[in-house]
Amino acid sequence: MNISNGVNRKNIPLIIALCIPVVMIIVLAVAIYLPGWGKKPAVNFVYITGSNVYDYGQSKYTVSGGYIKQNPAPATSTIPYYKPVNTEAKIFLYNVGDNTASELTFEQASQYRLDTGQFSKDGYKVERGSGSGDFLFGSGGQDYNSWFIKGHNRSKKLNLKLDSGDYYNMQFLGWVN
Amino acid sequence: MDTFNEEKKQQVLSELKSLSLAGGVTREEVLAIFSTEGLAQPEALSRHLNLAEVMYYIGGGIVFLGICVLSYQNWDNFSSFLRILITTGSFIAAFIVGALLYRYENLKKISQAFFLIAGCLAPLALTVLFKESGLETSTDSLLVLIYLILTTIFFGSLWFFRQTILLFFGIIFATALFHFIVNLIVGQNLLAGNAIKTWEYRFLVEGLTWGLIGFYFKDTSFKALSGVMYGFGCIAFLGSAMALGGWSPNQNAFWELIYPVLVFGIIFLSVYVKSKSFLVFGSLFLIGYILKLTGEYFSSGLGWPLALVLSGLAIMGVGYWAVKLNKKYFATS
Repeated sequence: MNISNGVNRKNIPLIIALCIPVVMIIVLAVAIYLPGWGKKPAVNFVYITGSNVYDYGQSKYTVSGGYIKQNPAPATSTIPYYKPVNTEAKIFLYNVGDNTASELTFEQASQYRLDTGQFSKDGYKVERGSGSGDFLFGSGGQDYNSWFIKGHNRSKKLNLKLDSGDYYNMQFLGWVN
Repeated sequence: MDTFNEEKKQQVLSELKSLSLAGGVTREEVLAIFSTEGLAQPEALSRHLNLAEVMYYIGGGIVFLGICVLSYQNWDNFSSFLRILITTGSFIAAFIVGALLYRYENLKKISQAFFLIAGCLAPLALTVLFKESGLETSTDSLLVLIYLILTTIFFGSLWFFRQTILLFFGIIFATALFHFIVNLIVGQNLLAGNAIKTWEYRFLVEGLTWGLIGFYFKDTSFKALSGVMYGFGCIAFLGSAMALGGWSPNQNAFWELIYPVLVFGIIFLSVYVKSKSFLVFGSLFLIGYILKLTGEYFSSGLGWPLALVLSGLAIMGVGYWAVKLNKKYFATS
């Protein structure tokens, strides 16, 4: 074995070491972008924003048997236990095609048959964004305060109408069947 | 060792080999040369930091700490210019001082301390510079740009200054660059559960990469980094492989079954690459694996106390075996 071959052989661990992260990046990019290529979410969903609870914590609107129903308000009590401070609950229909939310009355909402499963029939899920931010200043990033429709390794940012701009104040009710 | 000496050494070794094959020199005669007193100590021993170098690094660390405390206490009172001056300015100043000191043979080691300060300040320097320029530094694309610049600066400067500390920071920044490129690709595309998995895989990849880089460094002038790379590589590789195994009932059978192969592979590799880091971390992760399996599968069936007794005995066995390996292969290193 001559010296030049020896030098080349010595470099093999370094070459492999540098290739591994590059290969992972390429594989990850292909795995993320290929499965969702050309696919778009098609199933609309209904959500609630605002306070969906009466005093004492009972839910105002729930989904039962595939339809939204309004629970009766509990009897008033003199014991102060839990009193929500947020505004009245509002129901919205989200159209994933044109990315818009339109408000529904309870009567309108009760016309829709809802599937309360996490995933829609076409394999999408509504999920809050994960946090981002530089580690030095920890600004949190904007994505954590956004909602996304995710599926097939792709995501689309939702333009939800939320009560007082409070991004925590969103309750997914179900996919429209 | 410079190129001239390396070539000369290869030439001498080649001639010695030819002579030996021709029967002109015996093994005993060669070994007798090394038994002569006054010969230089093996480099494996002389590569350890001496007290002066340790003090330089501690001093450099304290200077960095001082700059951080000064910035933290007065950040809101500083103007944009002052913020950039104290971070970016200090980084540039430290780097230039390091570069100037490097020119003098007797001050080369002190230059490492200034490169240390520069390396610690570098991410802060660029982040502040971009932030004060009105850019949003929390986006992955800008973080990729920041670490691409830092990786280029520190690896590029190795061309002029053959300092291990620059290579060390170059590796750190390249690792951060890899992380932010992955973040950029993943974005919000994956569901939360799958996004966590990418973290486990990226540490697995980093562990493997660091280990291989450590192996490459062992025969170069940067051999001081070899042990560090082995140590961090082992922790990242075995830690992420264990995390990928998950926990019952959501365990991943493939990673749980392959884990003993990986951990024993690392322990046996410790003999081949002569690395105590592999032996120590391999043994520690083997103990961790025994405890994990005990907690996961045997705590309810056998009962927690009995499972603890069995895992304790297994850990004693691992400890005995690790000490035995250490005595056999590393007693003289």
